[in-house]
Amino acid sequence: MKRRTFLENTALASTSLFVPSFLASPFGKKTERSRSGRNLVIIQLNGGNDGLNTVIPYRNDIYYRERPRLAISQQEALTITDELAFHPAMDALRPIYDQGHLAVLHDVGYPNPDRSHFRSMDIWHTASDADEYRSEGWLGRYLDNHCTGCDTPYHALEIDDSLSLALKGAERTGFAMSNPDRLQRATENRFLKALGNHQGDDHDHEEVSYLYKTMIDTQRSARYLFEQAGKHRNTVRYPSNRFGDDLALIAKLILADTDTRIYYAGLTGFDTHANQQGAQQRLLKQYADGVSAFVRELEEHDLLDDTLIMTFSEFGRRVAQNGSNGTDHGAANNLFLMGGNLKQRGFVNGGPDLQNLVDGDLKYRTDFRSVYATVLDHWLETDADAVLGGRFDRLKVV
Amino acid sequence: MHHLHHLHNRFGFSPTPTEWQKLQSESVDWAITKLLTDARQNPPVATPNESIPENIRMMNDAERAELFKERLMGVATINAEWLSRMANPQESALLERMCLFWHGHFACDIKSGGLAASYLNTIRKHALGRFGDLAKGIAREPAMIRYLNNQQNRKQSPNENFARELLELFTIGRGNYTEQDIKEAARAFTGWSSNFDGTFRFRRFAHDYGSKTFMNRTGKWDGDDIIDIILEQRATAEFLAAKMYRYFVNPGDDPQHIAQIANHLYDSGYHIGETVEFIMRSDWFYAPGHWHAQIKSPVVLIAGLMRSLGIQTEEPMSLIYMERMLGQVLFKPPNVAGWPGGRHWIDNATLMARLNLPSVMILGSGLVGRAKDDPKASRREDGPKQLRVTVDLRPLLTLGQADTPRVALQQLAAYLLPGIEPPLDLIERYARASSPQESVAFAAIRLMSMPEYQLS
Repeated sequence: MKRRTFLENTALASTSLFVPSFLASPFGKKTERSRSGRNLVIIQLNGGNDGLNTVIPYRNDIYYRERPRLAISQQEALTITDELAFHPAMDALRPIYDQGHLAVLHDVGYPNPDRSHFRSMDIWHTASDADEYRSEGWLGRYLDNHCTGCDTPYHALEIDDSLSLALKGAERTGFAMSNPDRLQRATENRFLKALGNHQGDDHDHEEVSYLYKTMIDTQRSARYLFEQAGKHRNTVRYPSNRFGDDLALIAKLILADTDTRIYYAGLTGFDTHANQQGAQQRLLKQYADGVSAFVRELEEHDLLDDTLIMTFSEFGRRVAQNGSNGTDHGAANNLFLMGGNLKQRGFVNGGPDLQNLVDGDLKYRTDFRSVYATVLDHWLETDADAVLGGRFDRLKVV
Repeated sequence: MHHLHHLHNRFGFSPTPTEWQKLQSESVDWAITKLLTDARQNPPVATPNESIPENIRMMNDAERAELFKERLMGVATINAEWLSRMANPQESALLERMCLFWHGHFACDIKSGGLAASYLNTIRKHALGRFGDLAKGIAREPAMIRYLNNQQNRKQSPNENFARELLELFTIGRGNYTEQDIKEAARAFTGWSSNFDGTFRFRRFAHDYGSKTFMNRTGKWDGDDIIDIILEQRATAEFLAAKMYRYFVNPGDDPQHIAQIANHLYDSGYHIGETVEFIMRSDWFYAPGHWHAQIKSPVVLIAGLMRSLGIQTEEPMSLIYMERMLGQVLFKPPNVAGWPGGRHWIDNATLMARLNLPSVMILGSGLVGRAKDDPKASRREDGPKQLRVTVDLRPLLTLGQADTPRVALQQLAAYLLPGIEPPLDLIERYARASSPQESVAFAAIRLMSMPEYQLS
C-alpha cells in the first residue's frame, strides 16, 4: 500500500474532509486529493447487457450447451480465475481487476423480475418492488431528504441531454448536461436573465414554477460548470466515442473538485436479440476502454480512493441463446463496482449460478436494493432505509 | 378566444398569424368542423429513390457504409417533409398531429427513407380511421417488423419481441395478459416478415399454423385474429382512451372522462376520428384546468414556431438539428415506449435550447451547435453550425400593427401567450429597436422565449 493511502486510510479516515496540504501531490501538474468527500459514478448499460458473455463461466457445461453458437470459447475468453473469464473485448479491465479495484457481484436482481426494458429500468431507477410504481428515483429521494449540505442544483449530474428517473426527486432533481460549453452559451441570453430575476420561480401554476426554477438554476450553474470543466486537461487519452467523451468530462470535473458528488453516465445498444456478437463486442470494448482510461486518470491524481463506480443494466439475458444468434430478455445479471477503496475484490459472490434457473433465467441471489443500501449507507453515509423505504441487507464490498 | 387556441394547440399546432386573424370571427363548432373536413385530404408522402442492391453480402465495407448513409439521408428527407407539413397551413393540422400521436404510440426507430415513408403512409391512412386497421397495418410494416425482430419470429424459434410490445404498449397494456398469452401471440405472428426491398412478406413456411390459446380463446389464430381478440377486450379501449386523454387533454388522469372516451371508442368499433370529434365537442375539454397543462413536445414547439414565424427550409438537416437539440427526432424515439413526454422533455440543457430557439431561428445566430474550432464537433453533432432557414415575418408584423408599441405588444401577447400576463414593461425594454417593425419582431422573440410559451 502506498504511504499516502495508508495515512489516509488510518489516521485521517475520520477527517477525510480535511486533508492537510502536505499530502497534496508534489507534482505541479497533478491535482490535490478531493477535499470535499466522495464521488459516486453510476454507469448504466441500456438495453439489458448479456452478463453471461461479459463475465464468462468458461468451465460450465450448461453455458456451452445452452449457447451452441453464441458461447465464447475457452480459447477466446480472457481467463481471470479458474472459473471465470472476461469477454475478449474487455482486456482493459484486467489491470483494474489485478490491482484489486474491481468487484463483480453475480446474480443481482429482484423478486418477480420484469422483462420489459422500461419497466425493469424504472424498477432499478426507483428501487421499487416489481409490482410497485414510484415516481421518484432513488437518488432523487436521496437529494430530497437525506443529503445534507448538497443544495446546489448540480450535486448530482447526468452527462446526457436529458435526466434519468433515478435522479428525479419530488422536490429536488439532478442536473443534465452533455456539453458544458454549449450549456454556457445557451445561458448568455440577457433577456432571459432579466426575466428570471423579474419573475422568480414561485408561481401558482405548477408547470410554470417548474420551468422557471429549471431556467434559473441552469443560469446559475452553467458558468460554474463551464469553468470547472475548463480547469484541467485530461492527462489520459480516452477512446474516441461518446462514452469516452462523457467519462473524460466527468474526470475533469472530479479533478477540479467540483461540488458535484454524483455522476451518471450511460452506454446504449445492449438489446441484442439478433446477431449479438459484433454489437456486444463493440459496446464492451467502448465500455472497458473508457472505464479503464477513467480509472487510470483518477489513479494518477490519487482520486480513485475517493471514487466508487457502479455499472448496472436493467436485466441480464436468457441463459439459452435464441434462434437468431442473439439472446432475449432475462432476469438477474452481474453488477460491477470499481474504486480504490473496495473492501472486497474480485468475484465476491462467485460466478453465475446456472444450476438453479427459473424459467431458463438466472435467479437473483442479491437484491439490487442491497447494493443501493450499501452504497447509500457505507459510501454516502446516509440513512439508506429511509431513502429506500425499507430494510435491505448491507454488503461488505464497500 | 381561448377555446379556439386550446383546440388548435391540442388537435393541431399553434395557428399561423393569418389563421389566427381569421379565427377571431368564428365559433368553436365551426373550427372543429373545419379541422375535421381539412383532414379528409390526405396526400401520402413520396417514397425516396433508394438503390436496392442485388445482394448486400456481396458489398464491401465502403459500399455498405455508403448505402447506410444514403438510407439515413432518406429518413432525414421524410422527417423534414413531415415536419414541414406540420408547419404548413395548407396541410391538415389535425391529421399531422394525429400522425405524430400515433408515431409516438407505435414508436419505431427507422433507418431507411423507404421504410419510413411506408410506415408514415400507413399511419396517415388510418390516423383518423379504425384503430384495428391501423394496428394491423403497422404489424405489416417492414420498419416495425425489423425494429421488433419479427424477421426472426419463426415457427421453429419464435421471437416474442413484437408480441410483447403489441400487448404491453400498443393495445391493452400491462396487467391484462399473461406471459403465456405473449408466447401464443408470438406464434400467431410467425412468418410475418419483409423483403429486402422493404415490402411485407408472409413466409408461409415460417408460420405456425397450429392451434393457439390466446386470452382463453383457442383456434388456429394468425396475427390479425390476435389483434381482433385484443380489441374485443374493453381493457384495450380503456388503455387507448387513457393515452389519448393524457396526450390531448391533460397529463393527469380523470377516470370519469377517460371512461367516456373509452366507451365511445369501444362502441364506435374503435373509430379514432369519431372519438377525437367526441373529445373536441365535449365541454370538459375546454375547462380552464386543462389550459397550459401540457408541455409542448419539441416537434410541436418547432412546428408552432415555424408557423408563427413563416419559416421554411430547403435543407432537411436544419430541421433535424433542431429536433436533436430539443430531444425529439422523428423516426428515432428513445425506445419502443415512445417519448415519455411531460416534464421529461425539460431539463437544464433542453430548456435553454428551447428558450433560445426563437432568436436562433430569426437571427440565425449560432447559439445552437458547437464552436467551429471544436475538433470533436463532427462526432456528436454532425449538423450544420447555423440554421439555414428562410423567415417570413410579414403576417406576424401585420398582427403587430397598432397605434402604440404597447398595444402592438398586447396584440402579439394575445396571439402568442393567450391567457397569460407577460411582464410587458420588461419585454418592451428588451424589444427596443431602430424601427417599429424590428421592435415587433424583437417583442415576438421575447414572448416566444418565455417559459410559459413552452406550455400548451
